[in-house]
Amino acid sequence: MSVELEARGISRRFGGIHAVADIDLCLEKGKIHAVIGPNGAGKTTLVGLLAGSLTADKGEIRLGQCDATLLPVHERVKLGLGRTFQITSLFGELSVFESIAIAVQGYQGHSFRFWAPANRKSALIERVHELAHDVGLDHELDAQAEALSHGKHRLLEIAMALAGFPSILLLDEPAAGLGAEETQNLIAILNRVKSDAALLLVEHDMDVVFSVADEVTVMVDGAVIATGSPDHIRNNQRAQQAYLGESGSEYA
Amino acid sequence: MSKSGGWFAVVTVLGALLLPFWAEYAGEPFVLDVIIRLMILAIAASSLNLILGYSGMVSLGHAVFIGIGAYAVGIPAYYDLNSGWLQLAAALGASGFFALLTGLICLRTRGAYFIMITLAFAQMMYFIFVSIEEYGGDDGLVIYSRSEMGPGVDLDDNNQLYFLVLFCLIAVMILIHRLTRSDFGQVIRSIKINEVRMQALGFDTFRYRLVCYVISGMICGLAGWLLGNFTGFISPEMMDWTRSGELIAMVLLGGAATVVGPLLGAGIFIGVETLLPDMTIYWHLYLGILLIIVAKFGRGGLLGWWTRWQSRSRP
Repeated sequence: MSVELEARGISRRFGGIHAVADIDLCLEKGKIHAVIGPNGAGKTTLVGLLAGSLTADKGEIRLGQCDATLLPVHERVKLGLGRTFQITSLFGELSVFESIAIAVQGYQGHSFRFWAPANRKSALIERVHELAHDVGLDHELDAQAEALSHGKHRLLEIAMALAGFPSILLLDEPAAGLGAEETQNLIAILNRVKSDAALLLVEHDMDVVFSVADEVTVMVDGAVIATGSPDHIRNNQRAQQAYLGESGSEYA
Repeated sequence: MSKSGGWFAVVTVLGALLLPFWAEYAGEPFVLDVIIRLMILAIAASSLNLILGYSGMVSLGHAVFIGIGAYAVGIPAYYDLNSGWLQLAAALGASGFFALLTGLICLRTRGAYFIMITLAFAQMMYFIFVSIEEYGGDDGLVIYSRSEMGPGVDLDDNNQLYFLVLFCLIAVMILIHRLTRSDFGQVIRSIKINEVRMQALGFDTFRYRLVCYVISGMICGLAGWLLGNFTGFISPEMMDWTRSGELIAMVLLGGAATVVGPLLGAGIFIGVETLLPDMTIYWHLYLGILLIIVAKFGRGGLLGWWTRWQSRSRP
């Protein structure tokens, strides 16, 4: 299995707070790597550092063969990185079709085409339908993005992130707020996607984590306290203390 | 475009084509002057709409490009260089270059900071031209000869200037119509809605906003080139920030992020400016009240109000 993303010793401070402290991470194609931890553990900061919306104070990030430590967001995307957002981040006024189309357009190199009408090319239309089908939004293509239900917002997020055939996909709490059936659908999508990409899954829903993850990392206060197979984490005492069982202890 | 919109456009263009003949017949040459000014301001407002309406960047220094375009007529004319093509190239080149240079700095800011920095750059140009004695300083510069466009075209003939301005306005409106619906336009509109997401989709959003800013500046430079020819007199006052404010008012009055909105807005502005002063010397007050009403109740400007009214009256 090939390593698609490798982070070594990345750190980020916000004032006096060490949001992410000296983290090593490796994402391989065909595997889902889950990151869990209590609120404020630095999981979203970690996603931001990997995606490039935040820059690391220290450490190194490699995407495939390239050093991406200092690259801005859009150039990391060109290297095969895709992401979804913890807080749904869509184009409210656009239709589902237009939203996915702009994502496909982003993958097709530059968009400095000033005259011909957008969204008319058959290759683009085909790809949009394909992506909508992949996540099960076939029937919502004409709907306005902001008119969709929360569950469908999350699916649209994923469809847009998949538009560029990402080799690395960072998913920030994709299951947040989903119903049981929607969660099963999401799990099916993740299992399908992982054959072509390395996935990082930040998630609070332990059912999702332990049913799809090939590897689990537990973060607390910006640092990794345990990492390993789901079984290993389930039986790891520090991980249990920090997060899984005694959730009351953190408020004590 | 809707069917009624299409008919409206045909009738408007036909009316515009016939207007000079009517003006001559009715002995009202003044009307032609008013409409020329209206159309030039509509071009300038359309260019502002490209960044204000479609990309969500409020510039309070857009009139600087009118000034640059006008001085691109005035300064060559001062040295007896009257070739219209040369002056046009200078107007487009200088305004595009100025947009590129200032855009590299302005576009790194957002919101109120963008407003302030565009204002600052415009005022810098204003004071630069005030301080150049050679070109009249703040007294301005008289252009004795309009641009020479080659044999058969004589812009000193007001009718011909009228048709040139009309042609430019239609060309600009078609350009903006196509541009905003192209791949590029789709990117620009999406950046306005959610720039962070666009970056996460692989778009170098800064570059797209910069190109949009340069196109906008060049179109406004074209308006300046026409205005310099029309008024025959240019002064730094043309790029004063209050002029930029008027352009914003036009875009908002007519309807931002629509192709026709800026033209309507320029029409309202010129209408108020032409008719009200005859009735009251406090006409600015009434323009202000109109703006407050539009800001408070008329989201989408006149055009937005019209479409809402239409969709309500239809079952």
